[in-house]
Amino acid sequence: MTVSKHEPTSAVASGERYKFLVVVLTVFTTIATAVVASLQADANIRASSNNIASQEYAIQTSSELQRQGIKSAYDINIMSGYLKDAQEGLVFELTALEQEETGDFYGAALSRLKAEVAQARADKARLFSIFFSDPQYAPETEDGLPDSDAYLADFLAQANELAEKQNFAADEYIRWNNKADSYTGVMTILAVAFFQFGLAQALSPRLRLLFALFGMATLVGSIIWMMIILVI
Amino acid sequence: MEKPRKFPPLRLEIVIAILIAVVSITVAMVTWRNTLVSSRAGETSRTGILDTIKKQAIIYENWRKTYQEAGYAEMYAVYLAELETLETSADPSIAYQAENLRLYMLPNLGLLAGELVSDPAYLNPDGTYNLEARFTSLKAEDPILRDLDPQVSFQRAGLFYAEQRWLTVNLVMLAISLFWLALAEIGGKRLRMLTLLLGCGVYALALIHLAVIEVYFVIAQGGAL
Repeated sequence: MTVSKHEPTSAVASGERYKFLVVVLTVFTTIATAVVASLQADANIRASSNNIASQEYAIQTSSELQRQGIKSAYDINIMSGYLKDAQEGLVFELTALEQEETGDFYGAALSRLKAEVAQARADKARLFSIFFSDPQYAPETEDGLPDSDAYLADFLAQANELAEKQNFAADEYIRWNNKADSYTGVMTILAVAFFQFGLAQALSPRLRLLFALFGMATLVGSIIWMMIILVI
Repeated sequence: MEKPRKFPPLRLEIVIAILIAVVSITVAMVTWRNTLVSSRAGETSRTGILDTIKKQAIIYENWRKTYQEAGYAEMYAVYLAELETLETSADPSIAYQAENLRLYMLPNLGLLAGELVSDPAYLNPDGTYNLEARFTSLKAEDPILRDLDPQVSFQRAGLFYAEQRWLTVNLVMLAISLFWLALAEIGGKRLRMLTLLLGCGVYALALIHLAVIEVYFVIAQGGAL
C-alpha cells in the first residue's frame, strides 16, 4: 500500500487558497519594477546626455557672442574712421575753394593737401571695411549706403544657430528628466502593489483575494501609466 | 516498486535556492558595475565641459589678439596712405613731416600690429590682411589648445552611457532569470524542470551578454575599465 504525500485538497482550499496566485503576482510586479527601473535609468541617461550637450552649446554660444562683439567693434571702428576721414576730406576741399575765392592761395594749397590726405586715408579704410569690401553689405551705387540690416542679420546668425541647438538640447533634457521623474511615480505605485500583495499573503483567503485584486488593479494602473510615459 | 528519481524534490529545491543566490550575487555585481560606469560617464562628461570652457576661452583670446593686431594693422595701412600722399608735396615742412612719420610712427605701429604686418604671408593682394589665416596660425601655435579636444571626452562619455544602458538591459535579463528560478522554487512539481531550465537558460544568456558588453566596451575605450 502506498501513502500519498500530498496534503488533502480541502486543507489547501481552506488555508493556502490564492497564495500561489499572490506569489506569481508578486514576482510579476518584481519584473515590472525591473522594467520601469530600466526605463528610468535610460531616461536619466538621455536627460544627462542632453544636459551636457546643452551646457556645451551654451558655452559655445557665449564664446561666439564674445567673438562677434570684438568683430563688430573692429568693423564699426573702421567704418567710423572711414566716415570721419571722408567728411574731413570734403570739408577741407570746400575750405580750399573758399580760401581760393578770398585770394589765400597758400592756405588753399594746404587745405587741398589735407583734403587729399583725408581722402587717401578714407580710401584705404574703405578697402578694409567689410561694409564696402563684402558684396553682401556693399552699397549698390557709389554714393549709396551699406546694407546695415543685412550685416545685423548676419551678425548674430551663428550665435542664434548655436542658441537654437542649445534650446533644443535643453528642451530634450527637460522632456527626459520629466519622464525619469514620472517613472519614479510609477515605481512608487508598484511599491504600493508590493505592499498589497504582502498584506494579501498574511490575511485570510477571502481578504487575500480582495487585496490580490487591489494589488492587480494597482499593477495594471502602473503598467498603463508606464505605457503612457513611454509613448508621450 | 517505484523507480528512484534522478533529482529528489528536496535536493532540487536546494539547488534552485543556490542558483537564486548566485543570480542575486550577479545582480549585485552588475548593479555595482552599472554604478561605476555611470560615475565614469559623469566624470568624463564633466572633463568634456571643462575642456570646452578652456578651449573656448583660448579661442576667444586668439580672436581678441587677432582683432587687436588687425586694428593696428589697419591703422598702419591708413597712416601709410597718409604719408604717401604727404610725400608727394613739394613743401619741405610737409616732406619733413612725412619723413618723420615713416621713420618713427610707422615702425611703432608695425610693432603693435605684430606678425600681421611683419609677415607677408598674411598680406592679401589688395593690401588688406588675412585675419582668418592669422587666427589659424595663433590657434596652431597654442600648445594647450593643441592638446584640448572636448569631443574625445564626450565620445568616451557616450560610450560609458551606452555601456550603462546595456548593463541595465543585462539587469532586466537577470531579473527575468530570477523570476523563472523563483517560479521553479515555488511552482508545482510538473513545471519545475521547465521553469528551472528557462531560468538557467536566461541566466546563461545574461552572462554571455555581460561578457560581450564588457569585452566590447573595454576595447572601445582603449583598455579603460
